[in-house]
Amino acid sequence: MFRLLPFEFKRQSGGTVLAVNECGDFIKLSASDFSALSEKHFEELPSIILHQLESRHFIADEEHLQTAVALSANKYRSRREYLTVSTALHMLVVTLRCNHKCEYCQVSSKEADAYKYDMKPDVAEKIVDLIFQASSPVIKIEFQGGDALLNWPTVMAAVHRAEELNKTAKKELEFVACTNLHALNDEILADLAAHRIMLSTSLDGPCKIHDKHRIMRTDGSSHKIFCEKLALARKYLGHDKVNALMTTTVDSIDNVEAIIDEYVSMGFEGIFFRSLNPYGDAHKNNLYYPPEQYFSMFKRGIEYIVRLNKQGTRFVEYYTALLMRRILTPFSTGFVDLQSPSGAGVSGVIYDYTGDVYPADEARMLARMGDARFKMGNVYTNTFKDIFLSDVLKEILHKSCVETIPGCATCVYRTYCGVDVFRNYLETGDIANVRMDGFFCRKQTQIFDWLFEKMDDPDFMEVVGKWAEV
Amino acid sequence: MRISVSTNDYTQSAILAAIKKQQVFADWGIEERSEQSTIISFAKARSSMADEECERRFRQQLNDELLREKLEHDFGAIRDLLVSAALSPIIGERS
Repeated sequence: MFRLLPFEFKRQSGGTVLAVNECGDFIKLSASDFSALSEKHFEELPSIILHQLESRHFIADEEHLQTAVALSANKYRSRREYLTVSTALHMLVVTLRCNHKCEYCQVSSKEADAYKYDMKPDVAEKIVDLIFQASSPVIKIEFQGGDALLNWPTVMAAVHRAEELNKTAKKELEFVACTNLHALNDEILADLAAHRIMLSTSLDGPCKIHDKHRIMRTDGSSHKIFCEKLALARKYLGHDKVNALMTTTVDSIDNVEAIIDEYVSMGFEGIFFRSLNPYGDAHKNNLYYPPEQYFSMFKRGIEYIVRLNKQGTRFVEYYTALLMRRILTPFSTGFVDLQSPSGAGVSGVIYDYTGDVYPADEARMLARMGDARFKMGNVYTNTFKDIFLSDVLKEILHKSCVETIPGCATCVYRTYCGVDVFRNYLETGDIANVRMDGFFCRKQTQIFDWLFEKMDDPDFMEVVGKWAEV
Repeated sequence: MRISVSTNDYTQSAILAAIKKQQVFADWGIEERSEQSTIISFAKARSSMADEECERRFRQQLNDELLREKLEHDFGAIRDLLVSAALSPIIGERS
């Protein structure tokens, strides 16, 4: 006699029912087979379905129940490997100064000569001392802005301190500088090469789209200088040492093919579709859009990329790759917004130029908008334990488990999804109040619905399946 | 638009869960409660969805929520067993 093992379900548009169990295995069933399963009329199920249900741990006979639970528990634990390590990603906001005044800027950047918004070198060194108290064997230090290159002495003070401490700590140490590349010069290039610092930059698409919202404080085309500096950076550092991120604006929505073409023509191997966050200037300028609009761009973009791949151009969309890896493999994939509990403050943490510590950039943005409730402490006035055992972080962990959040707890996509605690807070005033009609949930649900539908398309899976490295 | 739901057939928790999940299509709320029934009202159906379609989806959701409650009962303590077997080594390492 079979027993049911825990799963969630959702009726799909074609009349089938998708079921996903606790460890992330899934099965699509006809409505009648699902009805037989849920009514425990196992004798009505075809033997092939019964076999699939058993091998994927949706059912188990009494004799093998313990084994099924143990195997499921192993998979469950593998998916949550991120729980076993302490904070690895440490982001330092070395300045709020920027040579751009992008209309969607989360940071509300400051004039290029507003030096009072610079992090002092001794603050950076103090932060690095704190970072090395984390037990994580991997430490990634990311320098953010404004534009990180505009306060290069502080970046290098942090790099030197980290390298010094790492002589004894022997961690896997990585550096990334986030920049629009405009301030790149010979001195900085030499430092980047000598200390193996990667560059993370922004490219929104072809000139017209890129320059629409990425506006320089001086006159001129941001895109033109970006192209020159990208070539320079690749020449000195190597082609693969510069990665780019795009931000989706209302002007990208109808031009996704042109954006992808731009990435391909510039020699990038992939793109990360990223929706706009309603913080800072994006909030002030009212630049966001409904999730349906974002999803229509996302879907068109992926279909276009799949076509490119079928024609021989290998190109990846990294967010879809991440989701497919979550769906098709039992491995842990770190991504702050898609972890349960949230990875904010646990997988990544951000240090403002003052030494204030926040669990995520969005929390720091909220503080700049006048609400500092997520501040975890300050590197001068608090210890490592004060900060990483702060009430703020405990509250986030406590309230961001999708398994217990009303609505999320019974969502079929729960195992692959997560919580955007700051967006929840911004939209509802409560980090645990997930609104089914909120941006994050609507965006995620549409993407998951579509991906599961497309899994029946062999052409799609031939390309996208590879992204998950199955 | 008002929908009457018999409280003999549906639990309050199933009704509340269905309301929460259907917020994506319209603004829902509980208008009246009596011993036999709960009156649900909804307004401002999003996009061009007809009222009848909203009601159909709500009733489907309601039935599914009831099914979830039944399934949860069938799963019994297995979910807790599974999660505690999965996490106990991690919690052990941490403590």
